[in-house]
Amino acid sequence: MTDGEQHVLVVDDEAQIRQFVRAGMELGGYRVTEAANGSDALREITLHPIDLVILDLALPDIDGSELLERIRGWTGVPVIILSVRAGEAEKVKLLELGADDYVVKPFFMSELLARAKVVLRRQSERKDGESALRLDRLVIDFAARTVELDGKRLNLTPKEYRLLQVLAQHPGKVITHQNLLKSVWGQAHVNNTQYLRIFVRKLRQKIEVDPNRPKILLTELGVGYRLSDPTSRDHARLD
Amino acid sequence: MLPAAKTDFKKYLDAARIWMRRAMAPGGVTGIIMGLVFVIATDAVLLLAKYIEELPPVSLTFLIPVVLAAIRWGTLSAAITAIGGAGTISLFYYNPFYITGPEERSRVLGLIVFLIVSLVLGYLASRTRRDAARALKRENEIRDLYTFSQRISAANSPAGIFEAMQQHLETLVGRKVLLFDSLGTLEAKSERLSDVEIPQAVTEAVSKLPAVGIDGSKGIVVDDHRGSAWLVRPVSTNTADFGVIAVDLGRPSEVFDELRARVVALIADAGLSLERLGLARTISEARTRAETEQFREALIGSVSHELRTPLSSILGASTVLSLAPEVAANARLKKLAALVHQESERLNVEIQNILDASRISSNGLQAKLEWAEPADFINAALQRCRNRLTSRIVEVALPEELVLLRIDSVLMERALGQILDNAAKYSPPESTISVRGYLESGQFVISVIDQGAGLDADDRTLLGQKFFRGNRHSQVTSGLGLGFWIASAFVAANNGTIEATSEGVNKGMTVTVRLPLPMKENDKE
Repeated sequence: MTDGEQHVLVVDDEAQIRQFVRAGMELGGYRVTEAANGSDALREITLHPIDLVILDLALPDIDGSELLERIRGWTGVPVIILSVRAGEAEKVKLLELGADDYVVKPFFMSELLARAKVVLRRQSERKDGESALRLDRLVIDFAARTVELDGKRLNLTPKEYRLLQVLAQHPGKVITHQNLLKSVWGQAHVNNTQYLRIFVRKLRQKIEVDPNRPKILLTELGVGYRLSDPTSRDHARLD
Repeated sequence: MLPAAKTDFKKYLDAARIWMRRAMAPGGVTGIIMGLVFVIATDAVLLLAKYIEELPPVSLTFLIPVVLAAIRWGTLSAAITAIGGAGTISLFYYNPFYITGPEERSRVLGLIVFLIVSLVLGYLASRTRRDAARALKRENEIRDLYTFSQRISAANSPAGIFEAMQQHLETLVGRKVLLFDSLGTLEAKSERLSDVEIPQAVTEAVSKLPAVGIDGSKGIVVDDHRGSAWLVRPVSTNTADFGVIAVDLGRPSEVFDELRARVVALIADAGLSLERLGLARTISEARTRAETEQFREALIGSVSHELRTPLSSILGASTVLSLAPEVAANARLKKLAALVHQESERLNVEIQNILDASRISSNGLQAKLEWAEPADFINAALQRCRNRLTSRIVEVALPEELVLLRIDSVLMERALGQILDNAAKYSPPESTISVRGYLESGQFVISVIDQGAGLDADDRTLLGQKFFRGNRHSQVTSGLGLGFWIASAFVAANNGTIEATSEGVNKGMTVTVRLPLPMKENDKE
């Protein structure tokens, strides 16, 4: 595990959920604080150094997405959203509001633990400011703007590289279609999903063993794409 | 005195401009000129005829251009033609200066009669023309109104009605029109408006309008600071139900007041006809329907929440148990934890199915069609079902090339998940389930082939019905029998078809899903 216990704040109005999430997170080696509502959560985040917030959307006092916005107003602490609302539009909205990940209820504890690990690792890396990213057989060198697969340099077009770069800036994090289109093609093309599909396919043909069964550049249906996180297996979903 | 003189001058200038504009319109200067042209042309024809043959009855011939001018350009043009005709007749054919004999006198009389007849005829012809034009316009209006009322009766929400209203008003007024909900609320009602930028000044005016009072009959005009003036007015001055209309009047110009008056009159007319259509009642009914829909949504939402919240705790807690070292060390406890886990997962799937079924039954299913690669949803479905597919041999074959479809990947993934789930449920362990995706005659086909229980004759007719489960299976396997029915609805929402075939009992089953390929030209980069 990581040096010292990392501090997780679990925000949920259901005591039962808090109870098993606490148990699960403690088994995973984290220190857990609970909050039953939005204002308690805000107070905890202000008063204590919190490393990760696990936030349920349905809170009695403040709407979860509003709370997320408020948290993002002053801190970049990683936030994983828990929600029973599984709509894709909702997921997109939360990601754009600054959520790091979301888990749809009901979920497996192993999945939440895996997500927590990825998000926390990403956070610590962000501080280190690494200039290269290693994903299995793939190495992306941001400084040299090169991509290597099994030690061999890949020939990527500028658009393909840019697409990979945007995804690689947050490995493991889902980047929404709109965000990718905006970053790679510009604001005017945010609705041209077919560009994205075509370039993702081209990129997969270059970096995946079987572009039909991708292992690196993963699809999040109806939401966006993400790069598989190097530290974690991609765990099962139950949404 | 100077400013006053200046305004006077401007007023005259404006008046002159308006006159010019009118003159340029049919019935104006063009008509006068064309009348004269007709006169000259007729003279030319007559003079030419004079050399070839004996002269036709001159004054009678002149009636033709008079009627033509009347029909095309109205009374004024006809009168000019008539007078011009009389003038040239007297010049070329009769000598008006030497009225000597009774013959000449009768000719002059004939000329006067011609003038009177042609003026009367011109007037009558132009009036007929006006009436015909008016009838045509009315017919168009009635047709518009009919199309509009058809659209209204088809609309099932206030938003739909407002959209129809907006389009109707747009056709009527012939300018860009924005329609806002009942006075005070700023929500632009038409869905088409989502991509139209609404000028700030207009929204402000709409919100201000209730303060101006319901008698906003003349409306208020605001400048959008982009070179356009907007007229903002309640559609009807009698009821707030029809909302507030904002009309883009274009660049403020000299004829602005005239245009504004015309648009106001059109809106008032439209408001009256909306009242006659009993639209207020229709809107309120649609509102009730929308509220019922909301209530149903809320009910389903709360049921799903109420069932899922405890389920989340059970499922989550069971997975924590499996993780606990104490449990992991004890084989019996581990098995029990896995059982709780498995069964709660199954319960979760059934709850999801009930929710899906209720959404389908209430037509709450809305496919969000987007460009998507079928491989993506096929992989996601395989991933989701992988627990249930363990101990089955799964073979997947997908096309090498990129296929792009217009589909809702999320719905398609759920549909395929149901199909795979059924395949796993009704086929023995160690059997093969094969998933193939391929292009065939303009369609993308996905077939799921199992080596399981297959279908008998009864199954074949009943499969696809809600809550259907083959008699042979109801004792052996679990489930509500919603799977295939849900899959069919999801596939249909993606404009696809689904078909289940089987060679017979225990000979396996093939479920084939066909999705349309979009037009070729859209495949370009």
